Amino acid sequence: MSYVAVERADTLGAAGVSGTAPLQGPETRRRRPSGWHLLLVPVALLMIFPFVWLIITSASTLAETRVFPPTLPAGFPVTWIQNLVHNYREAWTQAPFGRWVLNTTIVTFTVVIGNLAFCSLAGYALARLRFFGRTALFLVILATLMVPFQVVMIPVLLICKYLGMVDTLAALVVPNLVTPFGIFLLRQFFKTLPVEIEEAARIDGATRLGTLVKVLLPSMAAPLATVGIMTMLWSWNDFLWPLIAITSQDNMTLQLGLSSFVGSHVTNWPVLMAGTVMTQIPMLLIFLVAQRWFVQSFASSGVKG
Amino acid sequence: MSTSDAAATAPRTLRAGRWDRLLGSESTTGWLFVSPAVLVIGLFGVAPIVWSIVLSFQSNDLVTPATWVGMANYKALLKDPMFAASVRRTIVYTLLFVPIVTVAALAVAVALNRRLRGMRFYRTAVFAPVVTSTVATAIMFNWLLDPDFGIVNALLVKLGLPAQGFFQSPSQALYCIVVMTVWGWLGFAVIIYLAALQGVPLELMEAAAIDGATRWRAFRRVQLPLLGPATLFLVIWLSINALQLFDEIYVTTRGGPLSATTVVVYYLYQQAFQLFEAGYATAIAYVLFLGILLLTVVQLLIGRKFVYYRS
Amino acid sequence: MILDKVRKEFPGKPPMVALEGLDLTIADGELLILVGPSGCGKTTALRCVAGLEQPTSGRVVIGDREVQDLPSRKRDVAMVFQNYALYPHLTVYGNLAFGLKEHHVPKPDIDRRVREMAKMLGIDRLLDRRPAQLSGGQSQRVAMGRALVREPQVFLLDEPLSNLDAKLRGQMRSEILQMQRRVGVTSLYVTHDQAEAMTLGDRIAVINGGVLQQLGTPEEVFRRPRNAFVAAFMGTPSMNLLRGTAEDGTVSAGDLRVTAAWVANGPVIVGFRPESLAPAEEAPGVPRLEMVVDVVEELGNETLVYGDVAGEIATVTIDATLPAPLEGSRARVAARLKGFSEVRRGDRLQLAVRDESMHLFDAATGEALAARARS
Repeated sequence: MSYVAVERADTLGAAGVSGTAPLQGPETRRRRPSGWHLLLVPVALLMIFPFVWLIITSASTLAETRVFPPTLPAGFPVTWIQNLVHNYREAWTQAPFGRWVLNTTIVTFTVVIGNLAFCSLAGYALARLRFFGRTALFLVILATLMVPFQVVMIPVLLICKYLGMVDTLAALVVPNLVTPFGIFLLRQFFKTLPVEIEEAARIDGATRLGTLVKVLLPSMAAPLATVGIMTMLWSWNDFLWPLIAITSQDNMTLQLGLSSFVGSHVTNWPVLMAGTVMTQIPMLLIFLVAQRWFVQSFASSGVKG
Repeated sequence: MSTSDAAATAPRTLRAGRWDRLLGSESTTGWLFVSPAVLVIGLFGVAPIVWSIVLSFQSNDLVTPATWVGMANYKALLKDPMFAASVRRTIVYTLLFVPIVTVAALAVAVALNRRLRGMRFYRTAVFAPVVTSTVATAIMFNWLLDPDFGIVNALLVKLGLPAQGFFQSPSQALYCIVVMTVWGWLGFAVIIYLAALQGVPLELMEAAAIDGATRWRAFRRVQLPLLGPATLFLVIWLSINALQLFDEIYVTTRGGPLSATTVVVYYLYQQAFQLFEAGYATAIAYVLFLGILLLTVVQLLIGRKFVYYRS
Repeated sequence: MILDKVRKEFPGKPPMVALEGLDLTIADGELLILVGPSGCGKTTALRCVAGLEQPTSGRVVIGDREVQDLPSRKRDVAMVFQNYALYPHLTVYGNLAFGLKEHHVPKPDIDRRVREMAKMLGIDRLLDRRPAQLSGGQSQRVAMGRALVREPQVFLLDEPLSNLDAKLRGQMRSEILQMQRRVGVTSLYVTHDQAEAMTLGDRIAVINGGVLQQLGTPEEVFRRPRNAFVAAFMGTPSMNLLRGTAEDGTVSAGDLRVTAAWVANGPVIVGFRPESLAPAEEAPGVPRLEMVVDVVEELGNETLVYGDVAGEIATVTIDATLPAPLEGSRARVAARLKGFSEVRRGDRLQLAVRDESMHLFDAATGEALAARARS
């Protein structure tokens, strides 16, 4: 009994001191190093090593990668940095990475904004407004959520061709402006909100749209972040659809461009690695800055989706 | 207060709002609000589903006029040894990928669900691959596992083991894909489990401790059952994604060597965009859809038997 | 403000009728209380005025405008919600200013009106706080301020005090009354609490089953209930209602004998309030009955005694506020006696019914047969 009581007091104290980590366990702080490190250290190293080796290779000379067993790049840090700069410059000039970054940014930005706006509207209407055909519409949206992309990709390609969007960024944007996932997630969230706040806003003179924009959305950071982050990641990293919808190099996204870069540089590993690093840096940076939001988004999309 | 009184005291009321009734009605607003969604999902979600049913009954190369062939595509599928082999590979992959990710994630999540020195580092390390694109993942592993100059073979040789072919060996390529995708998905699964572990009330573990349970037994009997819903979700979600494996294979092996990694979606891609058999490819897609649906339903049914939901 | 034959059905099979043609006229500046048991339609009536529900038929008139087809925002009404419904992301100032901004009031005016209102309600120090940082009473004041700052034509209150503890409720009750008098706005106040209704309203409208039972001043409703429902609903403990028979000008119910010459022969309901019972020795020569005491509640200045008497209880369906009928020919009755009482459980108590508060109702319709029965 007394053991339990002591441990609990310790737990509360610890929770009081550091409340920053987003997901915190109930375990107590130990006096001696925990045995859990024996599991976590190798796992963390295994997870990180590919990134480390990626960066090391991108700082190597071509010759250094052509020997077996591999060696660490020589001449730290001066030659190292020179190689690094050289490889990144090579990658940047050999393929239109700048163009691809721009394309991907445009596509991702538009898709995220589109989803935030249109999924909010649709999710709100499906949760709150009584209109003819609402249930049927919701069921249809749920059904499309379940159908794998492979089933529809050929007709979608044909429709895009018909609309003259094939091999343009529009093909990457328009079909993804609204996602059933976003509608579903936001609808579920709207359902949990007390209806009185909306009624108060309507009596106070707000239209439905005004109520949504001025009263509901400002207090919905978490679900909006989830939709935003999920569509951002999905749009940024998507591969199969750009692969079939885009043919010309100038309209490629980063992922598609990178994969086409592999074909022509499969033997020049340092430059290929430099290119790979460049494509991953934007998302990794965003992730490092907003890790808490990413984790929370994955968790809530998992719980509800 | 009688009716006639009410009417009499309001002799000249202004009749307002026919337009308001129409424009402001919930029905009109509702349809206005969903109209962008209806347009996009209708055009790029619903219409293609119907169209692809039609396609799957056609011989269609997307260029010359299509001909109606009825069930011929589906019948041909049943007899196609290449398709059967791709299904087998997909099943092998799924049976390896899903359990490995689930079990490993559970262990890592339990380890991460406590207050340790260096927790921020551990978490970031485990989560970082989640935001790494499948293409980048594939390129990295291609280099790590390069038979001639890769670091992994170098380590193996140093340990006195023979160098391996990895992606270039027909007997190893699929397993390399498993390792690579486990690396890519582990973080996602850990996040799901961590969130679920946060939901287990501290009091429950304390109650178990008071009842005299060891740590292991408390975990086994109290925490683990409460992770049931998260596990079910993970298994279903991982399975759906495993059955749709494509990106990593396209970038690393292109279905090779000797078709050793031609999984269902890769086979579908070849049929559609290399052999231009759109009808046949769509039939494959529908069979895949059916498979996913079936597997999900089975998993849900099994889950209902074993998973305990706190309401 | 006028409600004219307002009828509201909710879809279903069969459709649920919440209001069956409600007629109400509220004078300018009046505070009218809608009271009734839960689910009686009083909140639906309020929401029809607010524009949150669309009446199936009938008219709602505010000032000289028929508003039943207008959306809420064009009706010039303001409302205080049961759970306050403050905008969680806005400060108190933002909450008060929201409606004014939506109505395009010039900025300097908004600022002046918000500050004046805040001062009047004593929340001027809270203007920068968010709703999550407010206590119940403060939230209540902000909710009132948000509604009144708009200077609406009609002020609606939906059970505004039910989330407060008892002490605060009494204080806020008088504050609401003060504010309403001061602003002089036509107000409609919904509550299920008949005591609240009695203390607050200029007039009270008692509603049951979507039908208006009685409309009148608190005194009228309490002293001259128009039917057995109103009689049973207003007052705690409820009015005692016994089944009786009228024969040749005498009504009898159990031990009780009342002379009422005008009542036609047949079954009737006899009603008397707990406070009109007194020990028989204090009031000689009036109708009396014998009670077997079951429960005694000492309240200090008075004593509530519950027990059973000969006779049969008349049940009026309101949500379980009436004691259940006892088996056989006994009926449960409540008495409110002055001061401390020596009675104990099991005592046989002789009680007299003060004649001026005896009520007679038609047994079939529940309609009052007369305001008072003379013994």
